[in-house]
Amino acid sequence: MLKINLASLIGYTGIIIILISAFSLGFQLTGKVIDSNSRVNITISSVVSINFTIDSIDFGGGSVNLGSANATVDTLGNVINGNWTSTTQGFVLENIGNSNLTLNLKSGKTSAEFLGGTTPAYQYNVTNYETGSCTQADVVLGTWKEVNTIGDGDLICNPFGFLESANSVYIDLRLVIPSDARIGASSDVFTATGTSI
Amino acid sequence: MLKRKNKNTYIKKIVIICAILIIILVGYFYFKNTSVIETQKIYTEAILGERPGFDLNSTALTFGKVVLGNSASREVFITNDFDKDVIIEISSKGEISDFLIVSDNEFILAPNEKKTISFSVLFPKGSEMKKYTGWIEVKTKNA
Repeated sequence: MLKINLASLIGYTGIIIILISAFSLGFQLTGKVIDSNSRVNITISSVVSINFTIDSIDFGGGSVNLGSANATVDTLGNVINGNWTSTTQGFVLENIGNSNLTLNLKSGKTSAEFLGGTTPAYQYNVTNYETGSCTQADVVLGTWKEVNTIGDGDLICNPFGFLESANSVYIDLRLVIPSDARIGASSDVFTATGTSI
Repeated sequence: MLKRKNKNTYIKKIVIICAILIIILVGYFYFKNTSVIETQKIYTEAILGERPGFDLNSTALTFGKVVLGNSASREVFITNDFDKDVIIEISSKGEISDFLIVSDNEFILAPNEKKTISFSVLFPKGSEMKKYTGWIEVKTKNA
């Protein structure tokens, strides 16, 4: 029977560790030769997309008045031909970075998909929250425009400024809800895309 | 006599177990470290706020301000300039890591191949309103 005392055991363990370390070191020296001029290049995109859910602008429940073909609700506090709760809660979108951007807006659904029924409308309206924040691009500021679901959507600002006193826009929404609109809760995701310029 | 024999057997067992553990650990660190060619870190930041906002810092993965329950996305382009296949492994560190989602991970890039990876930050309801920071680690490994 092989007898091993504690000192021997510690010694053997030490020898194993040294051997493994030496083995490991040797392989590292011969196995890590790489071309120092090569590398994996990483580039950060100059585009950010921010999503916000439209049900967070809470129009709540409601219905079209009897005898009316449709009702109109918007985030300017208007409720016409319906009994929805008025809201003045649109979105304020800021550029808190340190460079000018272009701003695009798109929705996830068209008015037909969002509301259904006969001739619905699902529109947005962008205005300067701080004067001089947004230089109008393809869409006239302060007017209602039907949402766009294609690509990055509509080009709204070029540029969207970053100066602290002029770096925010207001986005309001308007829905024209037909009397034969789909019944039940609807929600959508709006995407604002900022591209550094 | 019997007691001493038992003691020796006990010590032998412990030593054998220790030796196996050491071999496993050394082997693990050996393979883990030798296969990594380089590690690149990218600072990342997002603010959970009451209104959405952009921050397009070109040297960091900044998402700007994100509203509770909503998300922001940004892409990163990874190009393999080596003349061999490499494995890309992405991980995140810091308090933002719990809220980050990456579109792809642990993939092989052929020489000169470029891949677009999308990072999204999503703050679920109940998250604290504040700035969340951290960094992305992109490890390049021998394929």
